[in-house]
Amino acid sequence: MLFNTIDFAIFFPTVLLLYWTVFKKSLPLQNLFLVVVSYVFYAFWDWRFLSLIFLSSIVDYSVGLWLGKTNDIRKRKILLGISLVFNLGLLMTFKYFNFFVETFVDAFSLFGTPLNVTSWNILLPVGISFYTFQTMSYTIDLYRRKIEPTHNIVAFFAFVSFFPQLVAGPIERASHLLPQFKVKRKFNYNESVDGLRLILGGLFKKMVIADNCALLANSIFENYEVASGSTLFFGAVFFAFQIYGDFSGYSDIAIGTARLMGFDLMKNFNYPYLSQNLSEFWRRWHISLSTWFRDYVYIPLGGSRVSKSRLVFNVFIVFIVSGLWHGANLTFVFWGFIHALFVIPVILFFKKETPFAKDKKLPTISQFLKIVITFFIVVIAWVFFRSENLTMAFSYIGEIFSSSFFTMPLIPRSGIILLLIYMIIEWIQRHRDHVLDIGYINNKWFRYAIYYLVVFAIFYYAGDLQPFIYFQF
Amino acid sequence: MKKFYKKLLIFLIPVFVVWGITEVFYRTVENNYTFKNQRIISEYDQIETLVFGDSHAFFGINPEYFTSNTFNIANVSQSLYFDELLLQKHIDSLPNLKNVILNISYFTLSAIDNSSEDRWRRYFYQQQMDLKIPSISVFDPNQYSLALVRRFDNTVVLFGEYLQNGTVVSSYENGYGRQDETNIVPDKEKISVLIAKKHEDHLYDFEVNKNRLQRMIDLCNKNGIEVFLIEMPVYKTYYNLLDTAKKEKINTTLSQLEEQNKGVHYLNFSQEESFIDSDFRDADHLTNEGAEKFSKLLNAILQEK
Repeated sequence: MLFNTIDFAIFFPTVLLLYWTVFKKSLPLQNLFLVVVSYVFYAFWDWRFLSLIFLSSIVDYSVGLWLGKTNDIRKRKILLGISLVFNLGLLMTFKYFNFFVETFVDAFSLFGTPLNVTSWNILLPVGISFYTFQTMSYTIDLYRRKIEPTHNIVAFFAFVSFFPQLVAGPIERASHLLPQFKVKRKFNYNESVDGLRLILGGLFKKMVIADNCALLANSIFENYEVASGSTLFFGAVFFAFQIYGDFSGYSDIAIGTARLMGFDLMKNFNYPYLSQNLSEFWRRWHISLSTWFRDYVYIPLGGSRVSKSRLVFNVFIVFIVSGLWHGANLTFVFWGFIHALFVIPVILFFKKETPFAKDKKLPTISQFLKIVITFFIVVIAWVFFRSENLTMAFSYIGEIFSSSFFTMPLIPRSGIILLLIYMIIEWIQRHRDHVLDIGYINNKWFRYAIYYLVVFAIFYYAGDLQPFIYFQF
Repeated sequence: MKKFYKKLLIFLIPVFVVWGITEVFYRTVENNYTFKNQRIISEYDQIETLVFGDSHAFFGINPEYFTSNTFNIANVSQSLYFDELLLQKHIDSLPNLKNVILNISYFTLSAIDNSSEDRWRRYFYQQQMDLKIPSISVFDPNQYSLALVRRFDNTVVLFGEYLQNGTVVSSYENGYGRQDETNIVPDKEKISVLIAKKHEDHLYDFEVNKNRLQRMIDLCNKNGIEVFLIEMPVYKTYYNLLDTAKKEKINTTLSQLEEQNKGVHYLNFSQEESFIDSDFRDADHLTNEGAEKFSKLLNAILQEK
């Protein structure tokens, strides 16, 4: 079920009404209700894959209980191993099997030994990368004794399958989300109003920004062989906003939806295209994933408290794994590699950052130039993310860096104007929680005028319905 | 909580009002779907020739120039998927039907069911042409609101058209499409490049639509109806820019259907030389004059057969 469909517009208010009325009095019943509706929500895609969520939940719940009962290091390692092997095994089977088989065959062909191995037609279960990472964080934190195991099976199942963030995050930590299933939720008017603002802003990002950019980006990427460098550059810019609007829009709707039910989900995006360097970009983009990799991959590898050469190695590992997380294709690996390439100098040489002053209306020239350069690098890296293969990506980027970059691009001006206006709004809101966080405007009528303007824009300028990009990861 | 719901409902009132107005607009104002449905039903006993297809046939085949009593049930972006459902629905009620004309465009045989073009239209076919659409599930809430299935900007344009002209029906009583005489593309070379690119789907799998055509032929055969599979005239540059291998495959597929079935005639007019520049509105649609010329030509062939 997509957030931007009539199905969800019927599903969610019904769930919300029952949640705050019929199931309000009993916490276990309210949690059970959440598990049921979350499974129904997921079943709209493919009910067969519910078994994977169920298995992942039951395995990690059981592992958690056993971890709580033993202090034997060897046993604890085995238990953690069971959880990791099971969850990563699911990912390997459903997401990476064909990628590894094909890479293996290609490698053998390169050395003159063609292998006759057929790849399987495996369907990718929606959201598998999200919920497996979420449950793994539970067992890893238990192993590290950062949290206590839960004995409440319904709460744990609700934590794994919580429908607002089940298929595309934010990837929550057990230490943050799980306790929220164990305390009685209270309806909070102001939080609920803000939840609605998040949903409205998220729908705008998805349906107006992302879906319209998708049409432009798709047509340019599909005809990249005949387009000029300048057109290709803007094609990549449109894709940059497509993926941003798509994913951050989804996250906003997820957070807003959860907030209406009394839950607090972590912030996933913080105006990433206002970043002044690549390191900052990763503190503002897909925060729940980057902090996951920081805590469970980067720090265990030694983090930054190692030699410089080891640090470089660690950063490359994290970004390449992060690239692979996004998809089983070398283009994603290369996308991660490029980010690592530009993050490393920042970590090694540029320690000092200049945050935006609250009282300044405009950024300094230096800040502005840094934003533009960072955005340019991010845009070029997105070409790898969007391309079907590395040959296409290199050919695309090659044309951008040719003399045809200085010709007039063949793109609709309205698209660029829309994005510029949107970025100005983001700049104005840069210190606020989200783009439609306008509770500080005292004039009620002005606030309402903005809400109606956004509603109108969603209905009037919405592009053709596109699936959320991050569902495929 | 009550305060929250109350305020939310008040906030949503204008949205519900606009939704309601749009719904009433779609449900009460006559459009091509309701108009054609009503016309074909009222002409059941007279129709001898029935024209199916997309905009090429809708704006290119004018029943006025046919000797037999002809009705054009083609519509913009009408795929074979809907052609088949329409034929199945009406054939038993058409006692005098002798000929079925099926327009096959470059993209017809490779069209995928439930494409983005079909996605919103299927609800209109279901609700307003009374078709049973297999791809719409009973749990699909979109079938209950036509206002929600169409893009709102298109609805606004349509509403403006209604306010200006008093109707949104763009078809004559015989089903032939009304054309805007002033809207003729001057640079047909340039538009040909754009349209050829737009129509190039790089799909060569005709199996689904070939089987669909076969079912339609079988149904017609059962009722003693002749089937005319036609490729309509298109602008030369547009034709030359299309994939030669795919054009050949279309030709082979339709020729095979003609050979393997009784009462099937495949007529390829795509490069009919008598059609000149002024016969084309753009790269792939005929003007009123072009449609007259083509309809007369088709009628002559129908009479010969």
